[in-house]
Amino acid sequence: MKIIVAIKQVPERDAALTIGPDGKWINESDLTYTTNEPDAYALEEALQLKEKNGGEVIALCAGPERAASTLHEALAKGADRAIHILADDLVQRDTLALAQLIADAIRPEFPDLILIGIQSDDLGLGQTGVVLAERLGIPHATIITRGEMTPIGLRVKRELEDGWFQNVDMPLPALLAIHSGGNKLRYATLMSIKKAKSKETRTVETATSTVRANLTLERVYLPKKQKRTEMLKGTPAEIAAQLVEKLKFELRVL
Amino acid sequence: MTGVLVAVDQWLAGLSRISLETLAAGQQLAKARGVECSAVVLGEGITTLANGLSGKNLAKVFVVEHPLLKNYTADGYVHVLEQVVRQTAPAYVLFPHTYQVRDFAPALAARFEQVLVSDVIAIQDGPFL
Repeated sequence: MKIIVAIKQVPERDAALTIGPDGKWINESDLTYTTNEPDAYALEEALQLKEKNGGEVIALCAGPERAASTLHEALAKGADRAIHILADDLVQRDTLALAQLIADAIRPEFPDLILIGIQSDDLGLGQTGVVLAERLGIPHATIITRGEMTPIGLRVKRELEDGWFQNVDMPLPALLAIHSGGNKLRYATLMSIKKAKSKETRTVETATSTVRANLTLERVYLPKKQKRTEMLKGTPAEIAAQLVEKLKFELRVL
Repeated sequence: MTGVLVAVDQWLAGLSRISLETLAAGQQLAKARGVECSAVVLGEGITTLANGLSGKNLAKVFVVEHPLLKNYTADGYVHVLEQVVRQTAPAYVLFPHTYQVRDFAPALAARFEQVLVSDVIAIQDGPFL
């Protein structure tokens, strides 16, 4: 079984984010980067499926030169080889264009399974996987915590609203968007870090995007922090009624 | 291409609360644009649900019933909604932001070479409106 895991490199979660001078993106120069957390779980799921069923795990990442470190980490954890889609202008590309880049890089591999994190910690759109499956013409399932092989393909556990779960059988090839927390993440051993250096990485060059994006980012901004104190007046019963009203219709927490 | 189409979500035999919010957003957008607001609902045996929509001040309610729509599948929903959107040709299609919508709407948008704008909390006038 050939499994491709699509991984994104994102800013560290505790990074201090500042808005760039053009107001359209964050300052990237002083950031440290890491593997997107749900993608780390997708990699773990892929490695476990390989350990149970045999096969090959390929780590794929689209990004500039620095993304190589994320691929190296995936190789050190046990991926067999890597594909690096070299692109400096991902922020300018919308989901359709990104999914197209990934689809083009994946197609010659004919994988049985593609795993991807449910969403990225930076943009958080959660759409790349679904659009990628659509572009490849294969079925997909999202918010998956676990998958296991069956005689006809794959059985996956999907999370639904309000704490419900669903088991879905699907044929292969397929794409699964993996949710964090389904497995325990492994650490790379010293030996496997050394071994990763000799593993193959295929680099896919990309031309500068010429397609006009369907979606253009006009402005990014931090939410305005505001504290407001409001005194509720009346008898205790009136105050309680007002409070319920506010919690229900203004704050919508009830 | 005119009008607003709201694809409402069924959850445990009723309309999800976020579907009602989406209907309200659709009606506001339609009013601001001076166009009609309609809704579409998919499933099997959803007459009660569809009737519930008739009192919501909508121009039209499209009901798609089929045994294969009894249980949600991304493939089925994309297939059906693609046809509904092509036939009704709305300028805007609105969805409640639910797990189920996140599972299929990006693929539906891709069929129209569009990108789904997710996590919307407000709609303002812009250069394209």
